[in-house]
Amino acid sequence: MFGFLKKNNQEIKIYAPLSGEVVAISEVRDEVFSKKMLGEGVAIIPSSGKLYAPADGTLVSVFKTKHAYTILTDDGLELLIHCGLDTVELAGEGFTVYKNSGDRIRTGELIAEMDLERILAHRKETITPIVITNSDQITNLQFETKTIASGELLLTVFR
Amino acid sequence: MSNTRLGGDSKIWNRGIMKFTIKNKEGLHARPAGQVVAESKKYNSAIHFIKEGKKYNAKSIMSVMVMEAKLGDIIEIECEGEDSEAALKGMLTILESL
Repeated sequence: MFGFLKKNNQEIKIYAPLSGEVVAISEVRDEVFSKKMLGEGVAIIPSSGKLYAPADGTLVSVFKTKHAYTILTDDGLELLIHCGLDTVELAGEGFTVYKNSGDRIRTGELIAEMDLERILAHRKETITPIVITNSDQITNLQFETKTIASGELLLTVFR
Repeated sequence: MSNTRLGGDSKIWNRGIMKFTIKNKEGLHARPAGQVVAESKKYNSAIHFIKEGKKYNAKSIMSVMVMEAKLGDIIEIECEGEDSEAALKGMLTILESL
């Protein structure tokens, strides 16, 4: 019986896709994220534009506008990495993508790069929410608000 | 709306399909996707969007976002289940409101 419960209390680790400052998603100045309309998560204010895979999995889609990425991790989490706010309006400007929709990705692999200065020059925020869009399948998540380097442990997700 | 009676089963399953042209500038990106999924989850019916022959689960944020429906795109809304009529109405209303 306890073995069964333990099995259900799985811990999943997600690693920082960007270097920067980790902040609570409730602090993102767009209520679609701060009110968790798309799910639980965390955000990073990037200090570098290099975006790495946060877990092993499949890059389900690279949006045509290159500013958002969806990943299905091998552990079954659906992640949305939304680079910056209102960056859909840039129509791809300031983003370079190295992977394609459907590609297998390994933790730490370079997915894309954003030109932070160019995005800021368009008066867009570069803060990047990382959202678990199937949050109905998780029980809790842990993170620390701190300065983080890409590849370091960002989130521990409990399922 | 079509009613199909499954052989031997007394349950009558309803299936409804309607076409919709995306009217908002952002398309079904982040915020609209969240709103659409919140609405679809109110119904027991299976709800899917069909775009260019591909089917997307309207109850999954990821699926709806991956569809990348943009302004002017024509999508079909397919609802299957006992409350499909209410679901179809609800989905049209939320899509119109975006």
